[in-house]
Amino acid sequence: MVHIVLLALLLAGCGKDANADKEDTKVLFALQLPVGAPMPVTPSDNPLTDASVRLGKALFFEARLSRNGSISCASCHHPDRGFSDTLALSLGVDGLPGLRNAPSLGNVAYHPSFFRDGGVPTLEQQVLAPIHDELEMDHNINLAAAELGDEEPYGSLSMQAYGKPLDAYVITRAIANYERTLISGWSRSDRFLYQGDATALSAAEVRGWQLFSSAELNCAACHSGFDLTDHDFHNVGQYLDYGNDPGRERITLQPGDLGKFKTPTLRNIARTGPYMHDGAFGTLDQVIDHFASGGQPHPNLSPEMRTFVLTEEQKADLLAFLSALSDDRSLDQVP
Amino acid sequence: MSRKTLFLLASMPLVIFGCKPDTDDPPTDPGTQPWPTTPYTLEIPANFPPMPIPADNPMTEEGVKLGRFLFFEERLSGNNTMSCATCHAPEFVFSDHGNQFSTGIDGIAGTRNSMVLQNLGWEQRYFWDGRAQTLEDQIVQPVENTIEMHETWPNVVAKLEADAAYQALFQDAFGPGSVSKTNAARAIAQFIRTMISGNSRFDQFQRGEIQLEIDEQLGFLLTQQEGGNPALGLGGQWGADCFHCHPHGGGRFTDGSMRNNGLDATFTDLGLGGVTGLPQDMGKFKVPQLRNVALSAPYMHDGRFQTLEQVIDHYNSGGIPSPTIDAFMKFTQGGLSLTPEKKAQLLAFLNTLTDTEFVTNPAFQDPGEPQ
Repeated sequence: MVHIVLLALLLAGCGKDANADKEDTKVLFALQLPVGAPMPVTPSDNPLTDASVRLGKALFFEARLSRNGSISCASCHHPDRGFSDTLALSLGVDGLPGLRNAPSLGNVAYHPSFFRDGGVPTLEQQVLAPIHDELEMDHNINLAAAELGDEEPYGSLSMQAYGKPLDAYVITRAIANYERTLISGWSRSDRFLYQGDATALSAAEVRGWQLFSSAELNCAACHSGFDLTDHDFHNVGQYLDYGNDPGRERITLQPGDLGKFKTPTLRNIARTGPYMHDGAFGTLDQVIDHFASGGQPHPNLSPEMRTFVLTEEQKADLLAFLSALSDDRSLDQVP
Repeated sequence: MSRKTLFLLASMPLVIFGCKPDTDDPPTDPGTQPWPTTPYTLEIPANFPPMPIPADNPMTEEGVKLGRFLFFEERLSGNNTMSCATCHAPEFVFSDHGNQFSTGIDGIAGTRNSMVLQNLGWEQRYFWDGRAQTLEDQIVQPVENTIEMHETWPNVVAKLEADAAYQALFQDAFGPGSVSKTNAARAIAQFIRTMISGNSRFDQFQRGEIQLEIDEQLGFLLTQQEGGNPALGLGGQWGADCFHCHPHGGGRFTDGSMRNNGLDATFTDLGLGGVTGLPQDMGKFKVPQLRNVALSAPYMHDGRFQTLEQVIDHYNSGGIPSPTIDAFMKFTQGGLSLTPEKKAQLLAFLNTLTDTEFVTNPAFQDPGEPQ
C-alpha cells in the first residue's frame, strides 16, 4: 500500500530560474509516502530534488557545520532515536548543555512552525539557528560553506541541486529537504487505524488507544490528528515558575503565552525520551504520572488538563499503544 | 389566537390567587430529604468516561420511568397535542423527522433545527446558542416557549396533579406531593441521561471488536489530517480537518465549544452572540456531535443543508468569511480541495457513526399513557 510519488510533472511548468537547464535539477526525490499522506510541499525555490536530499543528508551528518568539527545535526538528532537526543539537554561544541530538549523530526514536513516556541516558520530558516547558536554548533554558516564547498560530495551535489557553489542558501535548503523526507506513517497504529490491518495492534494496544482517546485522560485533546499534535502551544503545568524558559511568550511577548510550548508529535515517542521541552522526565511512565496529576496550577494551565487515575494494567496498555507509534521505516528514507 | 387567549384565561386564577408558590420549590428535595428509591445504573460503554450526575438529581429507576412518561406527555403543551418527542423522535436520533424547522402548537415554525438528543449527560451547555448550562435548565424552556409548546409550568403541574397516575409516579420518584416543575425537569433529565449511543461500528472498531472497510478508514484518516495546501506553510495536509472541533477523543465527536463555521457573511441568527451580546460571539453555535449524523438530516443550526454531501461541500468550500469565522475554516485558501474520492471516503466514515441499536432501543420508545 505504499505510493511512490514522482512529481516530475509538477516541475515541468516552473523551470524559470537560471539553473533549470541543468538536467540534474529536475530529478525529483522518489519519496515514499504511507497511504493517505500528502506529498510535502516545498517552497517554490526549493523543489524536493534527489540531489538536494542527498546533499542535505550529507550535510546533516557533517560535523564541520560546528565551530570545532565536533558535532553534526545528527549528534543531537539521532536517527535511531526518532531524530532526537538521549540527553535531556543536548551538549554543544564545548560540551555545554543547551536550553531545550532536542525534538524528534518525524513528519516535520507537515509542521507549520518550528522550535518548541514556534518562533520560526520554515524548515529552511530553522536550519540556521543551531549552526549559529553558541550553545549548539557555535559556527557561522558562511565559514562552514567556504570550508566544505570545494570538497566532495558537497561541490558537485550543490551544483547539481541548486546550480551554484555551496553557500548559506544551499545549505539551509538542502538540509530542510532532507528533513522533509523523514515521513512517519507506517507505525503499527497507522496500519490498524488507517490501513486496514486489523492484526497490527494487540488487544492491549487497542485498549491503550481507547484510553488515549478517552475524555478522562484527554490526551487526544492536544495530541490529535495524523501527527498526534494540534500544532498549537499549551501550558501543561510542568512548573509554577517558567523563569528558566518562558516558551511561547518569548516570541509573542503575551503574558498569556508564558510556559506554553508546542505540542510535540507522539510519533516514535517510545524512542524520543527524555521528554518535555527541557527533558525533565526520563521515561514515559513519568510523563503519564505528570499528566495524571493534572499539572501545577499555573495561571496559563491548559483547561484541557485533567487529573486521572490509572491501574497498573491500564498504564501498561497506554504505554503499549504509545510504543505502537514507533515507525522504523520513518527513520531514514535515503539510501 | 383564541386558543392562546383561552389558556391565558385558564391560568389567570392560579396567578391571581397565590398560584401555589411551592410549585417551583418541591416539598421533598432528594438532595435534602432522601426518599427511598432504586438507584439506576447507567450502562456506559467501555470507551466512554463516567457521566457527571448533578448531586441534586441522582439517577433512580423511578425518576427515569417518570421522565420517560413525561418526555412523551402531550399535556406538557398548551393544547395537549405536543410532547418533547413530537420534535425529538427516537427514530431520528430524537430530532424532528427530517424537518428543517419544527412547528409549535399554534402552527408557528421556529427558526432553528431541532437538535438530536444523545449522550447529553456529557455536554456542558445546551441549545444551539448554548444558553442553558444544565440539562435541567434546558428542559424547562420549550414548555414555556410561545412558539413551541406554549404552556405555563403552573398549568402543567396542575394537569399532572389532576392525574392519579402521575401523582403516584412523582411520589415513587421524589416523595409524596412532589409534582413540580423542578421535579418534572429532573425526571426528564434523568431519562435523557439514559440516552447513550455507544455502539456504532466505529465504537466497535475502537473496542477492537470489528474491522472497518478501507474506505471508512481512509475517511477517518482524512478527518485526522489538517486541511489545506501544504505549500502555504500552515501545516496543511490536504485533509478534511474535522478533528479540531469534532475530535474522536471522548467518543462524542465534539469539543463542546461554540464556533462560527462560516455559513453566512452577516447573521440573521446571532447564536451565542444573542445570548452574551458580545461582538466576538456573533454567529457562533454549538459544535454538534457527529454520532448518528447520517440519521439526523437536515444539518446546521438552521437546517439549511439536506444531505451530508452538502455539508461536506460547505466545509470543502472553506466557508464564507465574517468577523467571527473560525480560524480552522479554510476560507483564506479556497477551501479544502477534497477530491470526489476523498469526499466519498469521508461520507463512508461518517456512516460508521450510525448506531441503529440506539435509535431502535425499546427503552426509549413511547411508553403510552401512564398508569
